[in-house]
Amino acid sequence: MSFFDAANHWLIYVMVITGICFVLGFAVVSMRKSWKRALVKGYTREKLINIVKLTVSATIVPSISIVIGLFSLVAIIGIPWPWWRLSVVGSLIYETMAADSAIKAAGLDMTMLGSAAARDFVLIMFVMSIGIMGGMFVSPFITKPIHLGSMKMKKGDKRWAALGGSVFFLVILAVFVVPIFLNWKPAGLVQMLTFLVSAVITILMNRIAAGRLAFLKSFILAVSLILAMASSVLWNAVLG
Amino acid sequence: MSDTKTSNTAEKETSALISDPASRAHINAMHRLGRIGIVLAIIIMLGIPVTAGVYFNAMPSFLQVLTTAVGLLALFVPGAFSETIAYSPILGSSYYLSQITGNITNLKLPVAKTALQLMDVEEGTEDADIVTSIAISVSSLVTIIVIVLGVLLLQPLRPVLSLPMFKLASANIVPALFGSLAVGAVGTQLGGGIRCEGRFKGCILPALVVAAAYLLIVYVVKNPMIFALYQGFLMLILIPVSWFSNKWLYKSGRIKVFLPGDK
Repeated sequence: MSFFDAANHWLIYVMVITGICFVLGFAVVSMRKSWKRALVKGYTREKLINIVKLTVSATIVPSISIVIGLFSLVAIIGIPWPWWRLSVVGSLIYETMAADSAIKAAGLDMTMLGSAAARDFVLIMFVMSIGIMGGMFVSPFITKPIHLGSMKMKKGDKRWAALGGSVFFLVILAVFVVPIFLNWKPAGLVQMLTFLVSAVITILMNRIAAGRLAFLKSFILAVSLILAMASSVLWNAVLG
Repeated sequence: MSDTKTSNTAEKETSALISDPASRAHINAMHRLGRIGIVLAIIIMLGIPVTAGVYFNAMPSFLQVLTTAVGLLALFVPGAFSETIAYSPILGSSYYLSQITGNITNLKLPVAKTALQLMDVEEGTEDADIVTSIAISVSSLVTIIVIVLGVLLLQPLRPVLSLPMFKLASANIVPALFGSLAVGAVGTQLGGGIRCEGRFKGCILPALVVAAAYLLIVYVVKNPMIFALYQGFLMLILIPVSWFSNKWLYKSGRIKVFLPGDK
Protein backbone atom coordinates (compact mmCIF):
# COMPACT_ATOMS: atom_id res chain seq x y z
CA MET A 1 0.00 0.00 0.00
CA SER A 2 1.36 3.44 -0.94
CA PHE A 3 1.73 6.48 1.30
CA PHE A 4 -1.26 8.34 -0.14
CA ASP A 5 -3.47 5.22 -0.31
CA ALA A 6 -3.05 4.97 3.45
CA ALA A 7 -3.26 8.73 4.04
CA ASN A 8 -6.67 9.03 2.33
CA HIS A 9 -8.00 5.58 3.36
CA TRP A 10 -11.60 5.30 4.61
CA LEU A 11 -10.35 3.83 7.90
CA ILE A 12 -8.45 7.02 8.71
CA TYR A 13 -11.57 9.06 7.92
CA VAL A 14 -13.69 6.85 10.23
CA MET A 15 -11.20 7.08 13.11
CA VAL A 16 -10.76 10.84 12.68
CA ILE A 17 -14.52 11.47 12.59
CA THR A 18 -14.93 9.29 15.71
CA GLY A 19 -12.20 11.25 17.50
CA ILE A 20 -13.70 14.59 16.49
CA CYS A 21 -17.14 13.45 17.73
CA PHE A 22 -15.51 12.64 21.08
CA VAL A 23 -13.99 16.14 21.31
CA LEU A 24 -17.33 17.70 20.32
CA GLY A 25 -19.09 15.64 22.99
CA PHE A 26 -16.54 16.64 25.62
CA ALA A 27 -16.97 20.33 24.75
CA VAL A 28 -20.78 20.06 24.87
CA VAL A 29 -20.78 18.28 28.28
CA SER A 30 -18.31 20.80 29.67
CA MET A 31 -20.41 23.70 28.43
CA ARG A 32 -23.71 22.25 29.75
CA LYS A 33 -22.27 21.76 33.22
CA SER A 34 -20.89 25.30 33.39
CA TRP A 35 -24.02 26.82 31.81
CA LYS A 36 -26.29 25.15 34.39
CA ARG A 37 -24.03 26.23 37.24
CA ALA A 38 -23.95 29.80 35.89
CA LEU A 39 -27.77 29.94 35.88
CA VAL A 40 -27.87 28.61 39.46
CA LYS A 41 -25.37 31.31 40.48
CA GLY A 42 -27.67 34.00 39.11
CA TYR A 43 -26.20 34.74 35.70
CA THR A 44 -28.96 35.69 33.29
CA ARG A 45 -29.40 33.90 29.99
CA GLU A 46 -28.67 37.19 28.19
CA LYS A 47 -25.29 37.52 29.92
CA LEU A 48 -24.35 33.98 28.97
CA ILE A 49 -25.47 34.57 25.37
CA ASN A 50 -23.11 37.56 25.35
CA ILE A 51 -20.21 35.23 26.24
CA VAL A 52 -21.25 32.98 23.35
CA LYS A 53 -21.46 35.92 20.93
CA LEU A 54 -18.02 37.17 21.97
CA THR A 55 -16.49 33.72 21.72
CA VAL A 56 -18.02 32.85 18.34
CA SER A 57 -17.05 36.17 16.78
CA ALA A 58 -13.51 36.05 18.21
CA THR A 59 -12.95 32.41 17.24
CA ILE A 60 -13.96 32.48 13.57
CA VAL A 61 -10.96 34.44 12.23
CA PRO A 62 -8.26 32.40 14.04
CA SER A 63 -10.10 29.26 12.92
CA ILE A 64 -9.89 30.40 9.30
CA SER A 65 -6.13 30.75 9.83
CA ILE A 66 -6.12 27.12 10.98
CA VAL A 67 -7.99 26.17 7.78
CA ILE A 68 -5.29 27.95 5.74
CA GLY A 69 -2.76 25.75 7.57
CA LEU A 70 -4.90 22.71 6.84
CA PHE A 71 -4.68 23.41 3.10
CA SER A 72 -0.89 23.49 3.20
CA LEU A 73 -0.70 20.20 5.14
CA VAL A 74 -3.29 18.41 2.97
CA ALA A 75 -0.90 18.61 0.03
CA ILE A 76 1.75 16.76 2.08
CA ILE A 77 -0.11 14.14 4.13
CA GLY A 78 -3.64 13.79 2.71
CA ILE A 79 -6.93 15.13 4.06
CA PRO A 80 -8.04 13.22 7.20
CA TRP A 81 -4.84 13.27 9.24
CA PRO A 82 -4.23 17.08 9.11
CA TRP A 83 -7.97 17.51 9.74
CA TRP A 84 -7.59 15.53 12.98
CA ARG A 85 -4.30 17.06 14.03
CA LEU A 86 -5.52 20.64 13.59
CA SER A 87 -8.82 19.86 15.34
CA VAL A 88 -6.97 18.60 18.42
CA VAL A 89 -3.71 19.39 20.22
CA GLY A 90 -1.65 20.51 17.27
CA SER A 91 -0.80 23.92 15.96
CA LEU A 92 0.26 24.54 12.38
CA ILE A 93 3.87 25.34 13.33
CA TYR A 94 4.23 22.14 15.33
CA GLU A 95 2.44 19.91 12.81
CA THR A 96 4.56 21.16 9.90
CA MET A 97 7.77 20.69 11.90
CA ALA A 98 6.72 17.24 13.06
CA ALA A 99 5.71 16.10 9.57
CA ASP A 100 8.97 17.44 8.14
CA SER A 101 11.21 15.73 10.72
CA ALA A 102 9.30 12.45 10.44
CA ILE A 103 9.59 12.53 6.65
CA LYS A 104 13.33 13.27 6.81
CA ALA A 105 13.91 10.59 9.47
CA ALA A 106 12.22 8.08 7.17
CA GLY A 107 14.91 8.95 4.59
CA LEU A 108 12.43 10.84 2.38
CA ASP A 109 11.71 14.42 1.41
CA MET A 110 8.46 16.21 0.54
CA THR A 111 8.90 15.52 -3.18
CA MET A 112 9.32 11.74 -2.69
CA LEU A 113 6.10 11.01 -0.79
CA GLY A 114 4.39 9.74 -3.95
CA SER A 115 6.76 6.78 -3.87
CA ALA A 116 6.72 6.34 -0.08
CA ALA A 117 4.98 3.42 1.68
CA ALA A 118 2.09 3.14 4.15
CA ARG A 119 4.64 2.39 6.91
CA ASP A 120 6.12 5.88 6.39
CA PHE A 121 2.68 7.42 6.79
CA VAL A 122 2.03 5.48 10.01
CA LEU A 123 5.43 6.60 11.32
CA ILE A 124 4.49 10.22 10.61
CA MET A 125 1.18 9.69 12.45
CA PHE A 126 3.01 8.37 15.52
CA VAL A 127 5.63 11.09 15.58
CA MET A 128 3.12 13.92 15.10
CA SER A 129 0.97 12.46 17.91
CA ILE A 130 3.52 11.81 20.62
CA GLY A 131 5.78 14.84 20.10
CA ILE A 132 3.22 17.28 21.48
CA MET A 133 1.44 15.13 24.06
CA GLY A 134 3.84 15.84 26.95
CA GLY A 135 1.54 18.32 28.65
CA MET A 136 -1.41 15.93 28.49
CA PHE A 137 0.43 13.42 30.67
CA VAL A 138 1.14 15.95 33.42
CA SER A 139 -2.05 18.05 33.49
CA PRO A 140 -4.24 15.39 35.20
CA PHE A 141 -1.80 15.55 38.12
CA ILE A 142 -0.89 19.23 38.37
CA THR A 143 -3.72 21.33 36.88
CA LYS A 144 -6.14 20.94 39.80
CA PRO A 145 -3.58 21.69 42.55
CA ILE A 146 -2.39 24.75 40.61
CA HIS A 147 -5.95 25.93 40.00
CA LEU A 148 -6.85 25.48 43.66
CA GLY A 149 -3.65 27.24 44.65
CA SER A 150 -4.70 30.28 42.61
CA MET A 151 -8.15 30.18 44.28
CA LYS A 152 -6.53 29.89 47.72
CA MET A 153 -5.11 33.38 47.35
CA LYS A 154 -8.65 34.78 47.58
CA LYS A 155 -8.81 33.70 51.21
CA GLY A 156 -6.19 36.23 52.32
CA ASP A 157 -5.63 39.87 51.41
CA LYS A 158 -8.35 40.51 48.80
CA ARG A 159 -6.49 43.42 47.20
CA TRP A 160 -3.28 41.45 46.71
CA ALA A 161 -5.33 38.41 45.63
CA ALA A 162 -6.86 40.38 42.76
CA LEU A 163 -3.51 41.81 41.70
CA GLY A 164 -1.60 38.54 42.20
CA GLY A 165 -4.18 36.67 40.12
CA SER A 166 -3.45 38.95 37.18
CA VAL A 167 0.30 38.24 37.31
CA PHE A 168 -0.01 34.93 35.40
CA PHE A 169 -1.47 36.64 32.36
CA LEU A 170 1.07 39.44 32.67
CA VAL A 171 3.82 36.83 32.30
CA ILE A 172 2.25 35.35 29.16
CA LEU A 173 1.77 38.81 27.75
CA ALA A 174 5.42 39.79 28.42
CA VAL A 175 6.74 36.64 26.72
CA PHE A 176 4.67 37.18 23.57
CA VAL A 177 4.56 40.97 23.31
CA VAL A 178 8.10 42.15 24.18
CA PRO A 179 9.73 40.29 21.23
CA ILE A 180 7.32 42.05 18.85
CA PHE A 181 9.03 45.34 19.75
CA LEU A 182 12.57 43.97 19.46
CA ASN A 183 12.49 42.57 15.94
CA TRP A 184 13.57 45.47 13.73
CA LYS A 185 13.51 43.60 10.45
CA PRO A 186 10.66 44.53 8.02
CA ALA A 187 8.61 41.45 9.09
CA GLY A 188 9.09 42.45 12.74
CA LEU A 189 8.03 46.04 12.06
CA VAL A 190 4.88 44.72 10.35
CA GLN A 191 4.11 42.75 13.53
CA MET A 192 4.73 45.79 15.72
CA LEU A 193 2.41 47.99 13.65
CA THR A 194 -0.23 45.23 13.58
CA PHE A 195 -0.04 45.03 17.38
CA LEU A 196 -0.39 48.81 17.73
CA VAL A 197 -3.35 48.98 15.31
CA SER A 198 -5.11 46.26 17.31
CA ALA A 199 -4.45 48.10 20.60
CA VAL A 200 -5.67 51.46 19.22
CA ILE A 201 -8.86 49.90 17.78
CA THR A 202 -9.53 48.20 21.13
CA ILE A 203 -9.15 51.49 23.03
CA LEU A 204 -11.44 53.29 20.57
CA MET A 205 -14.06 50.55 20.67
CA ASN A 206 -13.94 50.41 24.48
CA ARG A 207 -14.72 54.14 24.53
CA ILE A 208 -17.55 53.75 22.02
CA ALA A 209 -18.98 50.71 23.89
CA ALA A 210 -18.86 52.65 27.18
CA GLY A 211 -21.53 54.93 25.71
CA ARG A 212 -24.75 53.98 23.99
CA LEU A 213 -23.33 51.20 21.86
CA ALA A 214 -22.75 48.78 24.74
CA PHE A 215 -23.55 45.77 22.53
CA LEU A 216 -20.19 46.36 20.80
CA LYS A 217 -18.39 45.02 23.89
CA SER A 218 -18.94 41.46 22.68
CA PHE A 219 -17.22 42.19 19.37
CA ILE A 220 -14.20 44.26 20.37
CA LEU A 221 -11.71 41.38 20.12
CA ALA A 222 -13.12 40.14 16.79
CA VAL A 223 -13.16 43.60 15.16
CA SER A 224 -9.68 44.50 16.44
CA LEU A 225 -8.36 41.17 15.21
CA ILE A 226 -9.82 41.46 11.70
CA LEU A 227 -8.81 45.09 11.15
CA ALA A 228 -5.32 44.59 12.59
CA MET A 229 -4.74 41.50 10.43
CA ALA A 230 -5.99 43.41 7.38
CA SER A 231 -3.65 46.29 8.26
CA SER A 232 -0.71 43.84 8.29
CA VAL A 233 -1.17 43.39 4.52
CA LEU A 234 -0.93 47.15 4.11
CA TRP A 235 2.15 47.45 6.37
CA ASN A 236 3.80 44.64 4.45
CA ALA A 237 3.19 46.44 1.16
CA VAL A 238 4.68 49.64 2.60
CA LEU A 239 7.67 48.11 4.41
CA GLY A 240 8.24 44.89 2.52
CA MET B 1 -2.50 3.69 45.14
CA SER B 2 -0.51 6.92 44.94
CA ASP B 3 -3.11 8.31 42.52
CA THR B 4 -5.87 7.65 45.05
CA LYS B 5 -3.77 9.29 47.75
CA THR B 6 -3.16 12.36 45.56
CA SER B 7 -6.86 12.53 44.70
CA ASN B 8 -7.92 12.32 48.37
CA THR B 9 -5.46 15.05 49.31
CA ALA B 10 -6.84 17.25 46.53
CA GLU B 11 -10.44 16.63 47.66
CA LYS B 12 -9.53 17.61 51.24
CA GLU B 13 -7.78 20.69 49.90
CA THR B 14 -10.89 21.64 47.89
CA SER B 15 -13.06 21.20 51.00
CA ALA B 16 -10.83 23.47 53.06
CA LEU B 17 -10.72 26.05 50.31
CA ILE B 18 -14.28 26.26 49.03
CA SER B 19 -16.80 26.34 51.86
CA ASP B 20 -19.93 26.31 49.66
CA PRO B 21 -20.72 22.63 48.99
CA ALA B 22 -22.33 23.36 45.59
CA SER B 23 -19.28 25.35 44.43
CA ARG B 24 -16.98 22.63 45.70
CA ALA B 25 -19.00 19.95 43.93
CA HIS B 26 -18.91 21.93 40.68
CA ILE B 27 -15.14 22.53 40.75
CA ASN B 28 -14.48 18.89 41.63
CA ALA B 29 -16.87 17.65 38.90
CA MET B 30 -15.26 19.86 36.27
CA HIS B 31 -11.76 18.65 37.13
CA ARG B 32 -12.97 15.03 37.18
CA LEU B 33 -14.56 15.51 33.76
CA GLY B 34 -11.37 17.12 32.46
CA ARG B 35 -9.14 14.35 33.73
CA ILE B 36 -11.36 11.65 32.22
CA GLY B 37 -11.44 13.63 28.97
CA ILE B 38 -7.64 13.89 28.85
CA VAL B 39 -7.18 10.14 29.47
CA LEU B 40 -9.71 9.26 26.73
CA ALA B 41 -8.11 11.77 24.37
CA ILE B 42 -4.67 10.20 24.93
CA ILE B 43 -6.14 6.76 24.18
CA ILE B 44 -7.76 8.03 20.96
CA MET B 45 -4.69 9.99 19.86
CA LEU B 46 -2.43 6.97 20.25
CA GLY B 47 -5.13 4.52 19.18
CA ILE B 48 -5.47 5.99 15.68
CA PRO B 49 -1.87 5.34 14.55
CA VAL B 50 -1.79 1.96 16.32
CA THR B 51 -5.01 0.84 14.55
CA ALA B 52 -3.73 2.16 11.21
CA GLY B 53 -0.39 0.37 11.68
CA VAL B 54 -2.10 -2.93 12.46
CA TYR B 55 -4.78 -2.64 9.75
CA PHE B 56 -2.33 -1.65 6.99
CA ASN B 57 0.22 -4.16 8.29
CA ALA B 58 2.62 -1.25 8.35
CA MET B 59 3.57 -0.86 12.01
CA PRO B 60 6.93 0.88 12.47
CA SER B 61 9.17 -0.47 15.22
CA PHE B 62 9.15 1.17 18.65
CA LEU B 63 12.81 2.10 18.17
CA GLN B 64 12.06 3.73 14.83
CA VAL B 65 9.27 5.83 16.36
CA LEU B 66 11.45 6.77 19.31
CA THR B 67 14.51 7.76 17.28
CA THR B 68 12.34 9.81 14.92
CA ALA B 69 10.40 11.53 17.71
CA VAL B 70 13.24 12.11 20.15
CA GLY B 71 14.21 15.51 18.69
CA LEU B 72 10.64 16.77 18.80
CA LEU B 73 10.15 15.40 22.31
CA ALA B 74 13.27 17.23 23.51
CA LEU B 75 12.00 20.45 21.96
CA PHE B 76 8.34 20.32 22.94
CA VAL B 77 8.03 18.38 26.23
CA PRO B 78 9.72 21.02 28.47
CA GLY B 79 7.57 23.75 26.89
CA ALA B 80 4.38 21.72 27.31
CA PHE B 81 5.17 21.14 30.99
CA SER B 82 5.93 24.82 31.61
CA GLU B 83 2.79 25.92 29.76
CA THR B 84 0.67 23.67 31.98
CA ILE B 85 2.00 25.54 35.01
CA ALA B 86 1.54 28.98 33.43
CA TYR B 87 -1.91 28.45 31.89
CA SER B 88 -3.64 26.39 34.63
CA PRO B 89 -4.26 29.33 37.00
CA ILE B 90 -5.98 31.29 34.21
CA LEU B 91 -7.90 28.53 32.43
CA GLY B 92 -8.68 26.44 35.54
CA SER B 93 -10.76 23.35 34.92
CA SER B 94 -11.11 24.20 31.21
CA TYR B 95 -7.37 23.75 30.74
CA TYR B 96 -7.99 20.07 29.96
CA LEU B 97 -10.31 20.86 27.03
CA SER B 98 -7.97 23.64 25.91
CA GLN B 99 -5.11 21.18 25.86
CA ILE B 100 -7.08 18.62 23.87
CA THR B 101 -8.23 21.15 21.27
CA GLY B 102 -4.91 23.05 21.14
CA ASN B 103 -4.20 26.54 19.82
CA ILE B 104 -4.16 27.87 23.40
CA THR B 105 -2.05 30.99 22.87
CA ASN B 106 -3.65 32.13 19.65
CA LEU B 107 -7.25 31.24 20.46
CA LYS B 108 -8.31 29.76 23.81
CA LEU B 109 -6.43 32.16 26.08
CA PRO B 110 -7.56 35.34 24.26
CA VAL B 111 -11.25 34.33 24.24
CA ALA B 112 -11.14 33.23 27.90
CA LYS B 113 -9.44 36.44 28.99
CA THR B 114 -11.82 38.64 26.96
CA ALA B 115 -14.86 36.78 28.30
CA LEU B 116 -13.65 37.46 31.86
CA GLN B 117 -13.24 41.14 31.03
CA LEU B 118 -16.67 41.31 29.39
CA MET B 119 -18.35 39.74 32.44
CA ASP B 120 -16.18 41.78 34.85
CA VAL B 121 -15.24 38.64 36.74
CA GLU B 122 -12.21 38.35 38.99
CA GLU B 123 -9.67 35.63 38.10
CA GLY B 124 -9.15 32.68 40.46
CA THR B 125 -12.82 32.46 41.48
CA GLU B 126 -15.54 29.90 40.76
CA ASP B 127 -17.29 32.49 38.57
CA ALA B 128 -14.11 32.89 36.52
CA ASP B 129 -13.95 29.12 36.09
CA ILE B 130 -17.56 29.01 34.86
CA VAL B 131 -17.14 31.89 32.39
CA THR B 132 -13.83 30.50 31.11
CA SER B 133 -15.33 27.05 30.68
CA ILE B 134 -18.24 28.36 28.59
CA ALA B 135 -15.88 30.43 26.44
CA ILE B 136 -13.41 27.57 25.88
CA SER B 137 -16.20 25.07 25.09
CA VAL B 138 -17.88 27.39 22.57
CA SER B 139 -14.52 28.27 21.03
CA SER B 140 -13.62 24.58 20.66
CA LEU B 141 -16.98 23.83 19.02
CA VAL B 142 -16.66 26.75 16.60
CA THR B 143 -13.10 25.79 15.59
CA ILE B 144 -14.13 22.21 14.91
CA ILE B 145 -17.12 23.35 12.82
CA VAL B 146 -14.99 25.83 10.82
CA ILE B 147 -12.37 23.13 10.13
CA VAL B 148 -15.13 20.70 9.05
CA LEU B 149 -16.40 23.38 6.64
CA GLY B 150 -12.82 23.85 5.43
CA VAL B 151 -12.55 20.12 4.69
CA LEU B 152 -15.96 20.02 2.95
CA LEU B 153 -15.22 23.15 0.91
CA LEU B 154 -11.58 22.26 0.28
CA GLN B 155 -11.75 22.56 -3.51
CA PRO B 156 -13.58 25.91 -3.86
CA LEU B 157 -11.87 27.57 -0.86
CA ARG B 158 -8.32 26.48 -1.52
CA PRO B 159 -7.51 28.97 -4.33
CA VAL B 160 -8.96 31.87 -2.32
CA LEU B 161 -7.43 31.10 1.08
CA SER B 162 -4.09 30.25 -0.53
CA LEU B 163 -3.73 33.85 -1.79
CA PRO B 164 -0.55 35.48 -0.39
CA MET B 165 -2.53 38.21 1.40
CA PHE B 166 -4.50 35.64 3.43
CA LYS B 167 -1.31 33.83 4.35
CA LEU B 168 0.33 37.10 5.35
CA ALA B 169 -2.65 38.22 7.45
CA SER B 170 -2.75 34.78 9.03
CA ALA B 171 0.96 34.99 9.94
CA ASN B 172 0.23 38.16 11.94
CA ILE B 173 -2.56 36.74 14.08
CA VAL B 174 -0.55 36.71 17.33
CA PRO B 175 0.32 40.45 17.36
CA ALA B 176 -3.26 41.25 16.27
CA LEU B 177 -4.66 39.26 19.22
CA PHE B 178 -2.19 40.42 21.82
CA GLY B 179 -2.56 44.09 20.84
CA SER B 180 -6.18 43.91 21.93
CA LEU B 181 -5.47 41.82 25.03
CA ALA B 182 -2.62 44.08 26.21
CA VAL B 183 -5.03 47.01 26.56
CA GLY B 184 -7.09 45.13 29.14
CA ALA B 185 -4.07 43.63 30.88
CA VAL B 186 -2.37 46.94 31.68
CA GLY B 187 -5.64 48.82 32.24
CA THR B 188 -7.12 49.72 35.61
CA GLN B 189 -9.78 46.99 35.90
CA LEU B 190 -8.91 43.72 37.66
CA GLY B 191 -12.42 42.23 37.39
CA GLY B 192 -15.24 42.04 39.91
CA GLY B 193 -15.29 45.84 40.20
CA ILE B 194 -11.73 45.87 41.62
CA ARG B 195 -9.56 48.69 40.29
CA CYS B 196 -5.84 49.18 40.25
CA GLU B 197 -3.50 52.15 39.94
CA GLY B 198 0.11 51.94 38.77
CA ARG B 199 -0.31 48.48 37.31
CA PHE B 200 2.02 49.33 34.46
CA LYS B 201 4.92 49.43 36.97
CA GLY B 202 4.43 45.70 37.53
CA CYS B 203 5.09 45.02 33.86
CA ILE B 204 8.54 46.65 33.80
CA LEU B 205 10.69 43.91 35.38
CA PRO B 206 9.13 40.96 33.46
CA ALA B 207 9.43 42.99 30.23
CA LEU B 208 13.13 43.68 30.93
CA VAL B 209 13.82 39.97 31.63
CA VAL B 210 12.12 38.93 28.37
CA ALA B 211 13.93 41.68 26.45
CA ALA B 212 17.32 40.56 27.82
CA ALA B 213 16.60 36.90 26.98
CA TYR B 214 15.37 37.80 23.48
CA LEU B 215 18.29 40.10 22.65
CA LEU B 216 20.78 37.53 23.91
CA ILE B 217 19.27 34.63 21.96
CA VAL B 218 18.44 36.46 18.74
CA TYR B 219 21.31 38.92 18.42
CA VAL B 220 24.19 37.20 20.30
CA VAL B 221 23.47 33.46 19.95
CA LYS B 222 21.74 34.25 16.61
CA ASN B 223 19.22 31.44 16.85
CA PRO B 224 15.66 32.86 17.06
CA MET B 225 14.18 29.34 17.01
CA ILE B 226 15.57 28.72 20.52
CA PHE B 227 13.48 31.61 21.82
CA ALA B 228 10.34 30.36 20.10
CA LEU B 229 10.79 26.82 21.44
CA TYR B 230 11.64 27.75 25.02
CA GLN B 231 9.03 30.44 25.62
CA GLY B 232 7.41 28.02 28.09
CA PHE B 233 10.63 27.87 30.14
CA LEU B 234 10.82 31.63 30.17
CA MET B 235 7.26 31.76 31.57
CA LEU B 236 8.30 29.40 34.33
CA ILE B 237 11.18 31.70 35.33
CA LEU B 238 9.02 34.81 35.03
CA ILE B 239 6.17 33.65 37.27
CA PRO B 240 8.15 34.02 40.55
CA VAL B 241 9.98 37.12 39.23
CA SER B 242 6.68 38.87 38.39
CA TRP B 243 4.95 37.56 41.49
CA PHE B 244 7.49 38.91 43.97
CA SER B 245 8.15 42.16 42.10
CA ASN B 246 4.40 42.91 41.95
CA LYS B 247 4.01 42.00 45.61
CA TRP B 248 6.84 44.36 46.54
CA LEU B 249 5.31 47.15 44.44
CA TYR B 250 1.93 46.53 46.12
CA LYS B 251 3.32 46.36 49.66
CA SER B 252 5.36 49.54 49.15
CA GLY B 253 2.27 51.36 47.86
CA ARG B 254 3.59 51.84 44.34
CA ILE B 255 0.67 49.80 42.99
CA LYS B 256 -2.67 50.55 44.64
CA VAL B 257 -5.71 48.27 44.53
CA PHE B 258 -9.24 49.50 45.27
CA LEU B 259 -12.07 47.15 46.20
CA PRO B 260 -15.67 47.95 45.15
CA GLY B 261 -16.92 50.62 47.56
CA ASP B 262 -13.45 52.09 48.21
CA LYS B 263 -13.06 55.76 47.35
